Amino acid sequence: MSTVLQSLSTELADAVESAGRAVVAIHARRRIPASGVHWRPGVVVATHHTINRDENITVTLPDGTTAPATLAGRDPSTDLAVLKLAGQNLAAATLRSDTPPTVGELVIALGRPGPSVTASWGVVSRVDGPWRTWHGAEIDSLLRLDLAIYDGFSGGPLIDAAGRVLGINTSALARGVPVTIPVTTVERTVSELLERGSIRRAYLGIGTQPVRVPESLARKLELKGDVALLIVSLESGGPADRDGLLLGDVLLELDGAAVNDPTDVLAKLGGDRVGRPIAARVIRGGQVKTLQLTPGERPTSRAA
Amino acid sequence: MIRVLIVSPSSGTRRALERVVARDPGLALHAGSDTPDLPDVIVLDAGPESHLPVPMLLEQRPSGNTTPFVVLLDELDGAAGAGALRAGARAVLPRSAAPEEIRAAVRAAAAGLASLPAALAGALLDGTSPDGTGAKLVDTRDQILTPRERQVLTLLGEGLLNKEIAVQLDISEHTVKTHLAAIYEKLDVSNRAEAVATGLRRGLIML
Amino acid sequence: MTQSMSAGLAEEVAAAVEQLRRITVQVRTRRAAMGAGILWNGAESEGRGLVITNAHVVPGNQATIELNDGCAMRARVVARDPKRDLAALEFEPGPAMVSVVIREPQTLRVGELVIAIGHPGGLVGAAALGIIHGAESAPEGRTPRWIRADVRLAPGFSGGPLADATGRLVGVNTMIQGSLALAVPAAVVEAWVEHSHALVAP
Repeated sequence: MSTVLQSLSTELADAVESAGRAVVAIHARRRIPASGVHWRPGVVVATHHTINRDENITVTLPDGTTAPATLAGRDPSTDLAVLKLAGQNLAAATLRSDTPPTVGELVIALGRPGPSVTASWGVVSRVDGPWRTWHGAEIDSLLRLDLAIYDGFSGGPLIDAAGRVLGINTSALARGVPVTIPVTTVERTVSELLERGSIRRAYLGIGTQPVRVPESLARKLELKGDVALLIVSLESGGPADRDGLLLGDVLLELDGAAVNDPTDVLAKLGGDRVGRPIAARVIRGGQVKTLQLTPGERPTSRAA
Repeated sequence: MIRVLIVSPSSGTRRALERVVARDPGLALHAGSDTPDLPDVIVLDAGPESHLPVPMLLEQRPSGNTTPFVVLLDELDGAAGAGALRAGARAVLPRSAAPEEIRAAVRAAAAGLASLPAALAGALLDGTSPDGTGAKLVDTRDQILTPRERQVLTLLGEGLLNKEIAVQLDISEHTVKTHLAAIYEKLDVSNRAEAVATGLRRGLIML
Repeated sequence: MTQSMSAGLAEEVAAAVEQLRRITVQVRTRRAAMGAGILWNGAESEGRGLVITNAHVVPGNQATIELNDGCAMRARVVARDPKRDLAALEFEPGPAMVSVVIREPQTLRVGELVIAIGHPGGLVGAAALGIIHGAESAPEGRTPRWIRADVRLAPGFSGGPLADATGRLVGVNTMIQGSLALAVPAAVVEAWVEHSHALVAP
């Protein structure tokens, strides 16, 4: 009878079975359990928006048994959370980090919203370059998917036809559109969350509003663009205030890059910028000035 | 000191406007075309006796002269007001405007801002829309977040869940939800992501 | 997958679809929208033509069935189970009647390919390709209530076959739940046909 069709069917079922051995169900909210991936020994990755409590989290393993887990950290800007699982003999996911996924590649989204694993299939519909989420975090590449979302989708892995993990699925980052956070971004975030419990970000203490620089001024100052950021609020004693930024200053550039939108500022406030002076070019009193601002560490409100 | 030139076809109105300007220590009357300096602001009274529609009056300015105009109109309807704004007036007021309003418009014009009576903004914008759809009358007071709402919005920006915000601010989760509803309304958004994006863009969330 | 492999796949899917179309009928009634049905031939039918479909496809006692070759004939509802949403129709079979082949053993694997045949929006014999999403968990040894497949169906697929990659029946397409399809497991249909009073030969 059919060989290619049967082979493909078997291949897909095999991929689900092998990758499914690293997919767990997480009980951290009411109603439906969330999915999670056993990423490294003793470390489970899930999505931040499906973990609704910090304590009394349990995990259902592929063999049906339940084990307690502790929350190691969260990063809302990438919608990732990391849990620690003690003393379980569980297979860790096989990650594919050598070749990136390509548009049209056949993929399967796995979940475990209960005792059994569930799957939906489709293709990668777009692979976009570095992408900033609504919180300003950077995702190395955004994988948009053409497949059905269902209960248990978020937190589950996207796998290729060979069962290798391409990333973590979430429906909460791009207005409900199913996307996958690639392995490289997950790895980086997991490492930092395990080390610090949160993602470190730099902070200036400014509130901004995009404004249009009058054409005559733009011409006079030989500016490249005409949209800049007006400093409408300044945290008293904050890093920018301390370093001489004033209310009413119009911020043109940070670290040599034009800023048209608050997310452009966030892009320059990665954790590695804490304590490192950054050049800020502003319009003040009809003149362009350059100030050196040294960001502090962004205060996090969440208890460690 | 802001130098104000008053132009009016009616001497009575001109004297009244001069008195309005004199009451403000930061404003001074410009002596008129016999002085070499330009005024900082021109208050143009279009007046009922004036037979010239406002835009033509404004076009009589010499070219290159960019002194801001505050225009006083007898009938402040959509068409005339829109015409004045399009012709470059910085402010449009009714001739019956209160002295404080005229002085505020003059100061605003000197600072490079345009101004309108709030209550008339909607009607004037109605007059300018080519497709006849009226613009929403915006009362900026309704958009201002209370200090507590700003706190909630900031925590939202950090990605905290409702329960965590409640713990952080020592209020009930129900109260958090009430604050969120008010925030969404004031920022004219419908979800957390939009609230954060708008908050960032309005300078309500610190970077 | 290489180009020759995907071309081979397309050919095989086409062949499997053709095979399944032969055992899929159109079921038409006055009161309900058109649905599909499956030509069933077990030991119980004994020379009678039997079509299995959903109960909701045949609200009355009569229906017209049309075979893949265009041959249309009257059929009579001889058994109905509203709870399982199954119905059996009897008709006068021709000399060389084909019938569906049931997949044995019936444990399905999540991720397995499945093919559904139906008649959506007047289109006859349309095929949809998907995978097994996850069977509903069932108590020890019992068949789950539904087979859940990640395949995009439409109302005209009701009562038609859900088959595996070898063209063998896995279930009867019955409901759409979001972007998933629910099918009555073939084992449930078999058991029902076997024990259904009206279907057992006198």
